[in-house]
Amino acid sequence: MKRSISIGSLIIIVSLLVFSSPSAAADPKEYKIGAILAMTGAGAWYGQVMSQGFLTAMDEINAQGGIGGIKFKAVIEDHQSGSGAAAISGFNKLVNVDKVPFSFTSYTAPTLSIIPVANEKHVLLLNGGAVGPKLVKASPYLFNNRMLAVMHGLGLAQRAKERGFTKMAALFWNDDAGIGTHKFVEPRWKAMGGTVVAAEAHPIGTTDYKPYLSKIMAANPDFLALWQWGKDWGIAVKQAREMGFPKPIMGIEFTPDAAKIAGATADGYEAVTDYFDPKGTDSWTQKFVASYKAKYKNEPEFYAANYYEGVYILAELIKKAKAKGGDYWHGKALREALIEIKRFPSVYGGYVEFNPEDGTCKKKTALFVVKGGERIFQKYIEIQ
Amino acid sequence: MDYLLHILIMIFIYTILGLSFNLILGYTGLIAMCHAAFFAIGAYTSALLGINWGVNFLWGILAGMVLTGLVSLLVAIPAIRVRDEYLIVTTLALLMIVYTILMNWIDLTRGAAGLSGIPRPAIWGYKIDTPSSFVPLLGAFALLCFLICWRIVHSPFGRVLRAIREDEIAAESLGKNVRAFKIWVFVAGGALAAIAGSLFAHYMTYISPANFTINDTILIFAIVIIGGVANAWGPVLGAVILVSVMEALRFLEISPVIVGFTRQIAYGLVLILFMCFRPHGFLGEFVTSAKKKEEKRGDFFTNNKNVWASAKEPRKIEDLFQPANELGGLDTILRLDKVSKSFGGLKAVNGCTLDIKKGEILGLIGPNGAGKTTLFNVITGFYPPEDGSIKFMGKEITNLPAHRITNLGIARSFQDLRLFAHLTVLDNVLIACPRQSGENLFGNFFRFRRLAKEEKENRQKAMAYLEFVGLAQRADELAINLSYAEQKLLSLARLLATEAQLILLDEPASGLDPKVMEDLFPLVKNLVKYGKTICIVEHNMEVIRAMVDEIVFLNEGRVIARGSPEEIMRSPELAEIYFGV
Amino acid sequence: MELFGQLVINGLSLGSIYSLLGISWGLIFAVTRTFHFAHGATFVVAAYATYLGQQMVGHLILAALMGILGAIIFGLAIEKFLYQYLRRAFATPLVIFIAALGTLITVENFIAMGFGTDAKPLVGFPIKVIKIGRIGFNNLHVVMFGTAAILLVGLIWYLRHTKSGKALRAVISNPEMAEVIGIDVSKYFLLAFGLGSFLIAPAAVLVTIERGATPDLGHWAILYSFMPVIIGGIGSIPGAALAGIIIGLAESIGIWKISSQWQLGIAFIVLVIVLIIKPTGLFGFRVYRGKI
Repeated sequence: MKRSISIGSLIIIVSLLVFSSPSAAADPKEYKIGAILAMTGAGAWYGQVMSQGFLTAMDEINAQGGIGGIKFKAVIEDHQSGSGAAAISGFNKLVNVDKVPFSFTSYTAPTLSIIPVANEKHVLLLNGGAVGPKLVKASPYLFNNRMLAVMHGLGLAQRAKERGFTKMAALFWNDDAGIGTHKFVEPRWKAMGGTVVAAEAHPIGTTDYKPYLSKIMAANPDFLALWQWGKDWGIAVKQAREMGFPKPIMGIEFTPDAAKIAGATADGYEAVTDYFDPKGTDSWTQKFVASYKAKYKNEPEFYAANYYEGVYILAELIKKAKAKGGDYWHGKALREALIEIKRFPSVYGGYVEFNPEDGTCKKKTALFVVKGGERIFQKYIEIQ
Repeated sequence: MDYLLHILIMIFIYTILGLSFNLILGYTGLIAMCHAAFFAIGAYTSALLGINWGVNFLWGILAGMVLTGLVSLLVAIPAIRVRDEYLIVTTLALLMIVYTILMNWIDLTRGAAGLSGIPRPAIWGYKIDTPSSFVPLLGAFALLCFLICWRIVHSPFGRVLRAIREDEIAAESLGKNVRAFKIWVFVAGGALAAIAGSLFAHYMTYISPANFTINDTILIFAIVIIGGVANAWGPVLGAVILVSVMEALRFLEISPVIVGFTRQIAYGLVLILFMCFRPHGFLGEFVTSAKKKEEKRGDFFTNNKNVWASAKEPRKIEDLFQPANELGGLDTILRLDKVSKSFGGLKAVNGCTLDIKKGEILGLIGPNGAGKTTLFNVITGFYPPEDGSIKFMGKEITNLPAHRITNLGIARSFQDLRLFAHLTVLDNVLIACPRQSGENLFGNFFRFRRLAKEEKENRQKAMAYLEFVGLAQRADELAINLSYAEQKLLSLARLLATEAQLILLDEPASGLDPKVMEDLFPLVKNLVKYGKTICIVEHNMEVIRAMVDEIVFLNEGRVIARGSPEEIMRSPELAEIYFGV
Repeated sequence: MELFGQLVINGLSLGSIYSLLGISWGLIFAVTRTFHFAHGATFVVAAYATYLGQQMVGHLILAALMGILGAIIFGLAIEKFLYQYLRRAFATPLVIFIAALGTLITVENFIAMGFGTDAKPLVGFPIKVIKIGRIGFNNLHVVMFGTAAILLVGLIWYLRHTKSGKALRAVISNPEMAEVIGIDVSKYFLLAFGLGSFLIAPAAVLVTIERGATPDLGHWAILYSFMPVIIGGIGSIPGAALAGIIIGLAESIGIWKISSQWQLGIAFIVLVIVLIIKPTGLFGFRVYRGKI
């Protein structure tokens, strides 16, 4: 009895909500978009900064009255730091209840898991954080405004060659992104005349690197390459130095929270990564940094920047699709606009250019060095 | 609409998980932390078969069940030899090992990236692709699992499970191979979880190890706990509540950060609060009296209308007690030869040699610490002796497990009774009936008619034993609600139901007032008429004098005197040992 | 060969932490027979209390003391307000276990909500690298080993030579009898919880210094708390300590020839093997478990 009443009331409540959502007309009441991020779990920090990024952009645009008088709204769902099932559940709601034609996404596995539904229901996905090689050509509706790991890896290899190293040891994530990057870089490194003396894969989020570092140290490399993201590189660097590993360490990620963990041990660490420098001189960069700092106190890094930029890209798509007329607030129309425009201004400075064939992009990549806990820009990297 | 269907599908999947886990946790009381591992193995097996070899999902489900069954067997066999804490630890270890394999055996499982492109199910060419076609499929499986669990739970097998949960030792002492039951329920629960896993995989089309962590086991815990432990409907209610609430939280305009952590905190608090205030969950094991009557009416598949009525006509008592087995002329029913058992440095039983003659009532007395109860434990197989041999009806029983010894014909009562507190009086006796083919797990799904007939006969027998001890009118009452004297009578009835030839009573008179004893003991003396042999440990000299034919005096683990009550009681040396005077 | 030496050193420092986790949990379990799953929560509370302490007073040692205090208070509170309540209501071990599980989840997520899930570091420990040939470690690892050794010896001395320690041992071997001879068992349960929580706190501080504190360390901590106890044998404090070292060594050396990513599974495999071969644990004796 109790049970039937509770099910009954729940069904009534949910139906009311479902049937009261606005139906799609040519001009929607608001530009409601979705976001599937890591809001809980080990990666919750990333969900937080990513959402802060796009919320900053939305506030800026909405403050101007929105686009043609229509304002942005975001509905955020949680994939719990990588759960495909949670992503599917959340995305289901975004698509069927909120009826979003566009959604931000993050992390390789959840992105892959929602692609079938996105394809079916024509929802445009923009990924600003995940780097897995499997994202390449994963769906006509998936675009990435972060450069893929393999490109950064190649850049790192070039830099290592430049510094005169031959013996590489690699420490990387035991998943598609890490293994894929290593598999991509290794033959090219060898073609440049180098060798790989140690390759250690570790579970994502490991906090004890001693086993892997032990083997790496025993192999006596010229330098250590880290194919890691998030905060893992900071812990790895710290523990390597604390074990007395003397050789240079290079990676393809730099995040401030990891640098905080590494502290003084991060000095000398070189990173080949997306060029976003909060201290950069580009006017848009500075405007963004000021805006973000005013709301969230901390300086933004490139995760926030990618999602900030993503909203402005969407704004361009809306303008273009609307100009064509008809039902433009629709994934298909937005996608076509993206393929047509291809090249958008980037908050890094310069442009981000999409490849419509496989959804990847090209952006500025740079070499950074850490000195005194601060990241110092060295130079731009052109990846061959 | 699709969204609602999605919720319904998730409810079905979690219902199956809850039902299967309830068998293990709720009914048998086994704290198994590895249910998510069974879920995972089912999912990955079916997914891999589907992706790599295009195997139809029905075969995938079957393969998942078989593999999970094997794995759970492997785990159960070592784990169940030992107790509670070890089970928690071993099952946790299994969960972590499975998780590690899923994450690291990249060639097979693609590791953290997970398996994508799992084919949607197809039945005879009809592809199940949309939520609206999934719902009937999953609903059908959920119903199937519900019926299977219902059958198991209302069968003699299920009855023994509940007995094991109440008191494992008592169950073993009634002749049930507790270890085998635990292993089988583990395998059954695991196999059903695998079904949920396969369906999950083919619905999601994408799975990764992140779906099968300890958090998911905790979710399954919560479903069972909230809905109601050991209640067939409990997991259904639990799944409905948890899935709905999880989804409903999305609609609240709270920052997702808070919602996510709040969800986890809510699980944690729910577990704590329910344990503190309502450990049986919303529904609990004893819902309404109407439900109880329904259960009394027998199993789901039997024509059960007349069972209750005919159970009220007990069998003749003489029919119950089989004539004594031919001993081939032997008149010693039990022979102990220099049996020893020590604990640490203490020799509790020290070279004890003793014969019990068929058809006699033997009294075993001695000061505290003389080793009387330990001797019972050794005879009945709860402690294997270090030395010496024990022969029952000429057969060597020295190192046999306890349940085997009971099956052969020796049964004992406990000083602290060890009744199955939350089972009914009738169930307490029913469990003891031997040779129930319904106690075989698989047997319950075939030959319904024969099983129903057996069950009816056993119920009649059980009622007869209750009549014999004068408890027939309390048959429906929970054992825990009986008075102490009634509980002692129940313990006796239960013992008799095992059809044992040799009955060992451990301090049957303790705590009873003289009036009750006057009623009880003629009963016991009568048993000899029906071919039983009885050995009683007692401190109450009145009882001894009234009841026994012979006394054996035990001190420091050895027999130091044997004779008629008058002889023994007149001896000053023995009086000194016993009373210290 | 050098690699082997390096792995042994790793194993010793890792094993020291496991030993501390093991003896702290093992003491509580042996005395109170409660499967204190919330011990993992005590670990996280200690870690974050230390972190918070450092935010407030800056000095590492002072902050560590605050962490220890926080752990003790938390452990006592769980015993007094949760477990004792449940025991009085005749809760079965299953019920207590689930309540403890719920506590662990609740505490971890409260901390995650309050502090965030990024790793919180502790500063102020001057790391000095020590090298023997090409084998490298640092003074923190030495401190880990030393702390475990000192606390183990201290605990054994305490149990053997002080009045309250002996009372604890009495309760371990026979709670009913202890009650009969006048020991206030519930008071000693509290002592056990306080002592056990005190012992786990240094492990939390050291691990935080090495890796940073994250809320999910609670799960990790409770796993490695009962594993040494089960492997070493319930009731044997030195057994748990030794088992902790063995697990640490097995995990570290185990990856010598096999791929390092399997390290997590090694401890569990050791556990299952021990349970199959010798279920009472390597050094355990049969603790008094109740009459049949």
